[in-house]
Amino acid sequence: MPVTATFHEATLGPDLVSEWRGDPLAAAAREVFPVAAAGSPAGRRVGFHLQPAPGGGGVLRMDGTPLCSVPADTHLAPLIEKIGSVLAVRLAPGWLVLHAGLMGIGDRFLLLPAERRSGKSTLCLALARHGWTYAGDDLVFFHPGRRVFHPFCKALTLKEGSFPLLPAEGKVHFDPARGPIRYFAPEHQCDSAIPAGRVVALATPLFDPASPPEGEIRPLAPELAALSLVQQLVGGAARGEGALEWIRELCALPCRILRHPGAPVSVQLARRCLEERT
Amino acid sequence: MSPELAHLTALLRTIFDLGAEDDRGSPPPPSDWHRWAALVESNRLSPLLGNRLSAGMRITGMPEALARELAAAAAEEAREAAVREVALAGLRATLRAAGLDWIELKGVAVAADLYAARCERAMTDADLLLPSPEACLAAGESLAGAGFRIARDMPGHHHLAPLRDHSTLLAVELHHNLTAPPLSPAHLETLWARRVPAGEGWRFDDPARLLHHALHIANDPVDTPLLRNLVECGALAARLGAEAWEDLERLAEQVGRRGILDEVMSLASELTGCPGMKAAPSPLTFWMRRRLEWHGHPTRLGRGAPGGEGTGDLAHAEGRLPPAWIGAPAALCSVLTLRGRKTGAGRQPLRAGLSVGAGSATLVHRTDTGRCICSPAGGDRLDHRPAGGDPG
Repeated sequence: MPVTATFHEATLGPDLVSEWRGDPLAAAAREVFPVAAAGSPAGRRVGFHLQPAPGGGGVLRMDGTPLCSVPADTHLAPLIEKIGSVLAVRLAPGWLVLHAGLMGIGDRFLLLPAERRSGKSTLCLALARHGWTYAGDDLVFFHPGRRVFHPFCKALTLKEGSFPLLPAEGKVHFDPARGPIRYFAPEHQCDSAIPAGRVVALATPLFDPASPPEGEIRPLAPELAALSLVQQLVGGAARGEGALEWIRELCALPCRILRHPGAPVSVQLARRCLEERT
Repeated sequence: MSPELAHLTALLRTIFDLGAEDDRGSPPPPSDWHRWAALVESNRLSPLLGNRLSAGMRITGMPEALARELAAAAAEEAREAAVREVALAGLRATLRAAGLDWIELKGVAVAADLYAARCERAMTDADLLLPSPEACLAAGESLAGAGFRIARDMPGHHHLAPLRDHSTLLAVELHHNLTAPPLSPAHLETLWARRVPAGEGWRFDDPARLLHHALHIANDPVDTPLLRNLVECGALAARLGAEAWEDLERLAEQVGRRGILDEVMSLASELTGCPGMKAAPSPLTFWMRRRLEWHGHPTRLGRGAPGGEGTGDLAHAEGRLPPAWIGAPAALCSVLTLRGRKTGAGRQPLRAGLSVGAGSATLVHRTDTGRCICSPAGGDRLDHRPAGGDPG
């Protein structure tokens, strides 16, 4: 189907394509999932449209089924993000999903597993602005059989505290749980599979205004890294075969805690994490 | 009825278009929004109300933070519903490919036509009735082939152990009967004949769907959303014409459950204004009335507990008793040990015991901080003693 002003076809997960029909839905979807689907993958397709209400918003339908009411157009994008993310994760049998960011320079990638509100997206924004390739700020897919990572092709999601880092202009959306939200599509976004060997290090970001001005990098013992990774594994170790083996492999990479007071120190530290072998 | 329950019930009557117009709308706001929210939460009504707020419904006097919480719950449930719809389509395809017949029950059977959007009806699993225990096992095998695994063991129940697909997280309960104690094979056959197509699946026709909803309420474990289920019964009843209503009564008699239907529908009618049946006060209706008010509020048993602590546990222990025992003079002395479960309020597990004597019952309930002894049959006496003493 052609890409038009009122239609957006976006890749959600490794084998999942979404179609968003009609504005303002298509425009909001393009903001959240900016990477247009290429070709016609054999995987699953889900289609959405908005049955508009007179004062904005309306009823969001998936393949014709009414899912929920949307009070205003400003609520659309965060809802699209929520629904798209959960479909991506749960309609990807065979894939393991880690709650993590993934950023790279050239063909070397740094995995950033961390809990929510730890500053992953803000760090990813800083790195993207310094030319790093963006492959996700929230979810990372890995297929144990194919030995590849798959990026989550979503724009960076930034909460109110990070707005000063963004250009003044830009649309502000509203999420009832997270408050005001803005999206940012990095210039260099990876949209294809990444061979496992290209992920060369692991760093857990920890934004801490009380950290030394130059920040610090601490080694993370493999057993602690393993615990942290199990915690960030979506669905837990029972989700799929090969989960624990994958975690064992990841723990064999250099693992560090990246404690920083914010950009630009965080960018320098992340670069060190990527470049230092041990 | 407490002001919070009255307010919530009036809202639900408006949403489901039930009862006389004067009884609907937004009544004066309750003074205790915390308790109102607890009732909403324990009846799994947050997504419904949140979605209606998003669609423009106004609830007078509601704190803004609470309105945001409800809207967030609706958004959370919307994403669950999105996955569930895709997963249910896969489930139906699997069963159809295996040549099996089924009937969808409970949430899946009412979400499409009682609610405006799928996010409004929260559900933890999909309940399916199969025509026989053998068909149940065959369905289980087919689903295992499609990636479902046993989620937890529930020996002796009227369905197989729940199965869960670890990818979509859809949980399924395959029923070979509808109640415990079980309906006879002849009764099940009578109900099975009421199967009608609905979307891509099958459900009971309207009278049988209402009858099953009522039976389910009477069979409910203590922590299920009673108010929501009663209102759904009301909404189903309001759709029945005179002929269908007579059909329902005949069906209930045929399967030997007329008494239960009358009892449940008399309460549903009282709450929602839907057509109902007259039933004399019974242990079941007494038990249901108490359950409607339990959540987040001291029960008669729990009133006076320090800070309300343990109230939910008392309610839980009380609710685990068969309804017929409530208020009935017991001739035998016995002690039951009930292992307390973690409640919705996040309280720690505790132990509670019930000692039943002639004409009185004493509930012993122990928390980390103390122990309380309640004597419901003897009035409202409630005694708190420090832990570690004589267990009484």
